[in-house]
Amino acid sequence: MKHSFIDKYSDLDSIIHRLDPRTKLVLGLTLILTVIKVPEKAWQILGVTFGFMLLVGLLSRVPFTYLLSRSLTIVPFAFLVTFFRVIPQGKEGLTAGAIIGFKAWLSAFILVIISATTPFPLLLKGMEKLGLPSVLVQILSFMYRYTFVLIDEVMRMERAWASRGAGTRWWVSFKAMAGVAGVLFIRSYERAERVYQAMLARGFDGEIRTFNQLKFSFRDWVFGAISFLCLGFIWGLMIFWR
Amino acid sequence: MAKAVEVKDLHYRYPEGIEALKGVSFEVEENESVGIVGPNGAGKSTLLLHLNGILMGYSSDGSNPVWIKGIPVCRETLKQIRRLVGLVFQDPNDQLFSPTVFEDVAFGPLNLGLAPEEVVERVRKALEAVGMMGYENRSPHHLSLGEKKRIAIATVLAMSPEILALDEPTANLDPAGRWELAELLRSLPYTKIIASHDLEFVEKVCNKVVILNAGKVLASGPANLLLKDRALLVKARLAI
Repeated sequence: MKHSFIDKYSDLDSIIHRLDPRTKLVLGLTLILTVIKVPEKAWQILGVTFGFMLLVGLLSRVPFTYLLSRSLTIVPFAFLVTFFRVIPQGKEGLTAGAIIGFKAWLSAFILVIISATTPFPLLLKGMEKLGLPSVLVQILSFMYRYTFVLIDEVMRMERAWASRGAGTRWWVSFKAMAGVAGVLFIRSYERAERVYQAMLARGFDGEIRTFNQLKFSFRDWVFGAISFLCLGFIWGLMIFWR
Repeated sequence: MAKAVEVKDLHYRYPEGIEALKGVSFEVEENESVGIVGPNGAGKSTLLLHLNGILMGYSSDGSNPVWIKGIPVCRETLKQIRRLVGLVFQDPNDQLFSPTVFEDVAFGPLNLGLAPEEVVERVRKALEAVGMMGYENRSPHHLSLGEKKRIAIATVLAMSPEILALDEPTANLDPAGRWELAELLRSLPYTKIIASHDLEFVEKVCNKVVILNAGKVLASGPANLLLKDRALLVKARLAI
């Protein structure tokens, strides 16, 4: 069974794709911090940032509809926050709420661009090099590898279950679903055991050793320098606005 | 000269209490290809897991039951043993756990503590040996089962073992995939131990077989003799 990956389109080739994952991670996170820090009355800065990200999105050649649909998944979460902002303040809160919602979406948009332009394994390497504890990196890496194996397993169980005519009434299917969850847990547990055996068989002794192929290039320095200049400009504006 | 593999009166009982191996003995000479054949639940996989010390059984007289090239398999020799014996698991989804093929093949060599250039060279050679060059940056999830099996073999070859042990290598493979795998294994110059109930495949790859049934060795000898003995195969639930 085939699934679309979280890093779909990451195998395209563009200026953005060729950047070192560390450049993208650091810039992305700084940019998100900036977006969060922008005061409400200086909302124009958000517009500028948005313009910048649009440009990056365009340069990356990733279909815009994909970037949009992926980043919109943040909306239900952002909605809650916005909602509680709007309710007590009425009309005034509306602009504030809209700005918070837009900030949330913009942050998601930045992350989606990063993940759509970097193969996940490279992103992991970047995180590791940036000092994320290797245990966390390993957990993410196993997650990336096995999510779809698990989804396949669930789909197979669902078919087997549907073939036997279950799921006619919702409470029956609800009970069956609970069973599926239990079986899935046990199967994952057993798989984890076998994966660990396979690791042991190849000399794993508890220490995680990885291979680093990342290299900063001239491109990274240029892109990084330009971006930080822009960021500096934005922060300057923010200070000025206050 | 020491035998490649020597198993003497090996017993193993799973923690749940099931006695999977009840006194298994056999020997494998250097550069031999041996098929461990037997019906489901005969103890083939359990036996393979003993060859590199993932499981450790016992013998009735308390001596060490498994010897690899004259080295007893015990806690102190594990590192050495796992370097000598490359074990390929039945489900490549268990064996391939890294996000990319390169990282998976590099996992073993990195654990051996090799220098980066050496690791890259080992990965290249291993992928070349199984005909999978150019797959370095692919994610295992995107590969077909036949491709995954080849990569799984490469992950073990990259550790330059002297003995290859494969568990049900043809499980779920289509006929063409089986044939290609047989050709591949014949081309690899190692001592091979293959657990399977795919007799046609075993006959193609192995020169010797050990027939296992209910945790005991029913017979062992040249493949072309034993695999023609219909009465024996029926007794071992390998033919009807």
